[in-house]
Amino acid sequence: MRQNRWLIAIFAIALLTIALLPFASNLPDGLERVAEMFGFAEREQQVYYAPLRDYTLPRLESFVGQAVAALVGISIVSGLALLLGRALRKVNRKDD
Amino acid sequence: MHIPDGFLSNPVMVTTNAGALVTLGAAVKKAKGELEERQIPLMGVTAAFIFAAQMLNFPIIGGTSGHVLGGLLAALLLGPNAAVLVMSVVLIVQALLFNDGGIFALGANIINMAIIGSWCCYWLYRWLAKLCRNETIAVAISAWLSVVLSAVACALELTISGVVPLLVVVPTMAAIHAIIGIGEALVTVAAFAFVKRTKPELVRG
Repeated sequence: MRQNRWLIAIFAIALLTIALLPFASNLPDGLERVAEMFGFAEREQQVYYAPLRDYTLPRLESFVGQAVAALVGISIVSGLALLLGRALRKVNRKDD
Repeated sequence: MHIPDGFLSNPVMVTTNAGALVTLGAAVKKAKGELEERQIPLMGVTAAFIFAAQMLNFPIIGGTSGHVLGGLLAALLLGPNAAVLVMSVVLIVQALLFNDGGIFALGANIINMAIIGSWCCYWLYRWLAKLCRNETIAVAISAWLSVVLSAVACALELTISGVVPLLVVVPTMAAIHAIIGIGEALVTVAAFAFVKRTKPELVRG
């Protein structure tokens, strides 16, 4: 039951994100804007091609692609953070 | 403000990656003794929230957008050491899976957004909370500062890399992120109040 509550919280965050995605801005962010303003944007190099580049699926650059990217990203970061938490927990577990 | 590959010089890349690695090692050691069993699920939820918040850019003035970083919120919920690690997990996944932030720039991005934006600003928050005796004001100011200071650190790394002059990039980055920081302050205050109300026993403060 308690475990379910946490999963529901993560699922709620994912749903809310997908609902808000159509309203997210595509404008350049602060650093991108500064790089354009002062002419160093072209220094950017692609040394590595990530599977879900720019938060979309390679051949599905639509809302669906973004929604899948959000789901994948949220699942992976929360899964890794949970594993990290388990690895880091206090060692004295006598009272469990 | 994720720095892509190609912006930083080799010495800056080596220094920031080494610095980030050493600091994360120290954070792992410190977090080990601190983390309570009941905080573990909150780590997952916090990571999900930070990733989500960083995906949702909001427009500010001048054809520019920004997003919430979530570093201070993470530290308020998990303590500074676990927060740095959760922030770093998000930054690493963003770089590896989404090309958001360069691979060789990961150290710099971890220093800016996790170590400065989360760990340093947590201690700033503690100091401010004592100073002004109002938790909400302290949360708002340090959340705002976490974005501005991350941006200034990013600007300094670009300057040291010889990409852009100091007096040009530092004021511009600081000014843009001073506006983005208002969003950070609002979201951090609201989210912290929400968690405090629903799960007061989880908040480290």
